[in-house]
Amino acid sequence: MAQEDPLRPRAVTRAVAAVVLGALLMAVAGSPAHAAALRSRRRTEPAPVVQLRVVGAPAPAPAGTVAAALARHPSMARSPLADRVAVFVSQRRALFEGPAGGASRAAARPLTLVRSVDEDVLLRRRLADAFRPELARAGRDAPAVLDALEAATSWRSWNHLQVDLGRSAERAARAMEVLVRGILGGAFLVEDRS
Amino acid sequence: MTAPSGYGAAATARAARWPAGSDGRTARSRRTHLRLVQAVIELVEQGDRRPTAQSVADRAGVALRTVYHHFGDADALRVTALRLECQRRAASVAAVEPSLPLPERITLVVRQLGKLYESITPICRAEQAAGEPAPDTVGPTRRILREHLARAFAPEIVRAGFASEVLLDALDTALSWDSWDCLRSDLRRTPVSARRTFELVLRNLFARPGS
Repeated sequence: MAQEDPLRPRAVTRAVAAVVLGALLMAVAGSPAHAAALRSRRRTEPAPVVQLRVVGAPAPAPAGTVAAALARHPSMARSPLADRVAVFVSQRRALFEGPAGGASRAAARPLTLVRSVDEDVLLRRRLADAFRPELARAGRDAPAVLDALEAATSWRSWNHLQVDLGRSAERAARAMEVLVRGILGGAFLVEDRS
Repeated sequence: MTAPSGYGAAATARAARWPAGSDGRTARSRRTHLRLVQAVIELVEQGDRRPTAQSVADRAGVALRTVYHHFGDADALRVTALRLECQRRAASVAAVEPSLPLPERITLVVRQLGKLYESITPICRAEQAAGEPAPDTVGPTRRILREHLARAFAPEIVRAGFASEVLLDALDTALSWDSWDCLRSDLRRTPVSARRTFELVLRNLFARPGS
């Protein structure tokens, strides 16, 4: 069922999607070898749709902002889980605190963030890449784990922590780390930084 | 006009029991107030995220000036109606005893949250459609749910020691309506699938290392 495929987007228009996604992945990965590996992998994976998705009212966030921000983040090396979680959450924090998040904040509500669907795919793929070993270990639960991670690291969760719960960016990042580590490994405790 | 249901039905019944005679005007005023609130909820549930004062008046079968007399403007009416409705529905969430086994608590909490979130989604969307964040329309509901979570998972939260507040924030976020709507709307998961994801989050979050 398409719904259970963790990497499958909501609709497929293959030709255009492959070109755009390839460009985005190369921009993020930087390395030609990595890009080649991703191109190879892409042949066996469903291609994403490329279209603008507007949820709620139109907002000032230009499509491409998320991809541009992610392109500045280096790919994560195969480091210990705790390190990867910390790096991943700091990247998301930078993303949400940057222009893409700012545009949503300016629009006063999270659902107005305008992104292209390929950016949605990119965000999900970054999660899948960063936590591939843990997802592989999750077996049949992998799609649900990836769903949980996507929700936990979404702009909406960040907004919930900061706006609804009134937490600082530092505290919000700690909570997000706890959540991601918990979802992935059950070891939710974080070091005391107080 | 549809028959009163939910908050409206209960409220109308309460209003009907309001002592009449000695102060009939007060009772009438209260009934009108409740009819207006119920009209907003019905309109929102039917997809009108920001009903106008006129549409509410039409729905409630009262004059437009009555809306302004009771609430000042349509926004005040909308916020009051949505807050009351959210709180009413959240109040139906039963406390889960922390003495129950963890798997049972997880099932009970997630089942109730799923049901609640499905029912308040039109209200939350109406709040978001309002442009400016509504002043605490669903805030009280969030606080009620956070208290439920803190109670249901008190043993696990206490075990977290110094990180207990951060853990509660993480729980609050993972089990928020925003997370639910992310799964249901953004990822297009079914309610059953979203519930499974919530359960998985809780199971993993509370799993002891090495278990």
